[in-house]
Amino acid sequence: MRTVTLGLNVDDCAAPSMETVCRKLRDKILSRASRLVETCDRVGRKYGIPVTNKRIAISPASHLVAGHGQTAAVAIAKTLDEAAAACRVDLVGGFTALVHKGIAPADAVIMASLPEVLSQTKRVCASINVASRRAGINMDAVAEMGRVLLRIADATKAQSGFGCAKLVVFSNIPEDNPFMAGAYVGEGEPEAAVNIGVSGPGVVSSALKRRIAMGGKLTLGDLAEEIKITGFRVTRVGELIGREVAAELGVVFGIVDLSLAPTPEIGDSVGEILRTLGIEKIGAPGSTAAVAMLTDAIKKGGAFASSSVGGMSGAFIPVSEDAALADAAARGHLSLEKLEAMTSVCSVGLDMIAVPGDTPAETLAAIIADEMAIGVMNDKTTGVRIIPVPGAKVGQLVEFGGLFGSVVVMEVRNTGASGPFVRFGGRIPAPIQSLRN
Amino acid sequence: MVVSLPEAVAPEALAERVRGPASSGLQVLARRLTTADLAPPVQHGERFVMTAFGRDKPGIISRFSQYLAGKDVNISDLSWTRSQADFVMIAELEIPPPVEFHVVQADLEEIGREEGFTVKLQHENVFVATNQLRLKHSV
Repeated sequence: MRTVTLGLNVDDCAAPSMETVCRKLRDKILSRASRLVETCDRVGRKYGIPVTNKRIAISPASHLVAGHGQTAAVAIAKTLDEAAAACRVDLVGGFTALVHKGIAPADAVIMASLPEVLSQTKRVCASINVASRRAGINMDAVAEMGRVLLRIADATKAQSGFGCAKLVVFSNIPEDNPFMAGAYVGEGEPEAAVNIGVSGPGVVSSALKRRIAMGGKLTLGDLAEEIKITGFRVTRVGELIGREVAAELGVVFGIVDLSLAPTPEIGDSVGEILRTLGIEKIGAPGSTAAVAMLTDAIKKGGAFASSSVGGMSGAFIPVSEDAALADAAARGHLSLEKLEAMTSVCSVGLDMIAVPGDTPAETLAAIIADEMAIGVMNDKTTGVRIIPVPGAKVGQLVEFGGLFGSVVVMEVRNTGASGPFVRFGGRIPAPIQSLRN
Repeated sequence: MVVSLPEAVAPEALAERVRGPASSGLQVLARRLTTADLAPPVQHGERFVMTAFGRDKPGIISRFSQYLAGKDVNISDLSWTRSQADFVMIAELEIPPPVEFHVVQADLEEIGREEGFTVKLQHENVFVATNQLRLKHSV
């Protein structure tokens, strides 16, 4: 069980004085989330299935920042950090702004405060939604995020630009996503809800290996069936635990996110599944087809298991957080371009990728724009979590530690050649797919 | 088997009638039901499902049941099937609160390894969630 995330709407903490905002925010989080960790631990013990991560997500911090300035934004972030620590929660998401059609003043404050916030807090995670199917791609926001990424990397250069690992730039951000760094509580969500991520790449690869070891002539259809059955079981167990935690906390159960979310532990890896499916070098031709089959089979099993599926529900391929993917990147099997292709058939985009720190802001923006285009045109969520590591060169190993893992700095080809495109700015119009009514 | 008879019969006489001639080789034990027998079974702790499979061998059931009895774990249901040399056993266990589930789980797996059996112990709810199509909770 990868994650249990308690989503809280904190809009009622808004106030004219920032001291009041911070006090109300701290009180609300402590009153609603202080039992989260012990409850998850107790239910996990009961079933012998530990809940790895316990997290909190809030409604967009931009709502609380409205009418205030950057000092206030940093104060809110620090309050979130302290409140999360008091609840023994490792990450808190929702330092979020939605700017897919335009940047409101409060959103601009959120974006400008990111270098300070992500360098001065430990647990706060940020997300900026710069594109959507209905609005298209806000290229002014994309260009700004390219610059902001470099500023965050610089502010956290002692930790190899780690601040950028706590920020996702999204298209079509899900409102009930339990996974960090992109979790936040969207409009229309309940006041408080438990959303869970069931994970299980390790479970899927062991099931496949068992099936293959049983022998007999197997086709990819048979293996897809095995993945589907495993997806069903994993989802059922996840929902059982999630519902029990929600009931004990006295909040509603929200959704199960079916996403396969790897951890740096050996074997708990989406890359390992691809290897089991016969892709000997991850990134080789066939990788995109394999990840497509995997994601689809998981969705089919999960959708039958639960009527409360939501979040991102795909497969994650976060390079540093997945031992087999990190290894493939280090050996040069996996390029940025192939990763991008793989993200077109699974969530959640270019995730946990390290690139040289001297990559120009406009090139970072163009990488974001490409990924946003995949999301907008295919009506799916995509995200970019990219770390321009200050002073690092291609092939250098960067250690982020813990769940964030380690990864080599990947090559960005044709750097500096997208400047004029990004500088046009404005908005890439919503695609024809947006006219669905 | 629970039976009710129209006339009073001593348990021994009933057993003898069912047993038939000595050459039948049947073993029959009869006793009168008490009120304690009729009370609904008292549940001791949370319910778990144990599955074990491997090659059949003498004493395998007693190996597991002796360990469970030593931990004060009640076996509330037990069934097994055998197909050629393969033996599959499914037991419903009630683990009393002071006993840690993960200790029982680890011990059973260890006994399984010694005996060449694969053993799984799951909370009843997990078993139901992963094996039953229709669940009780609503959306």
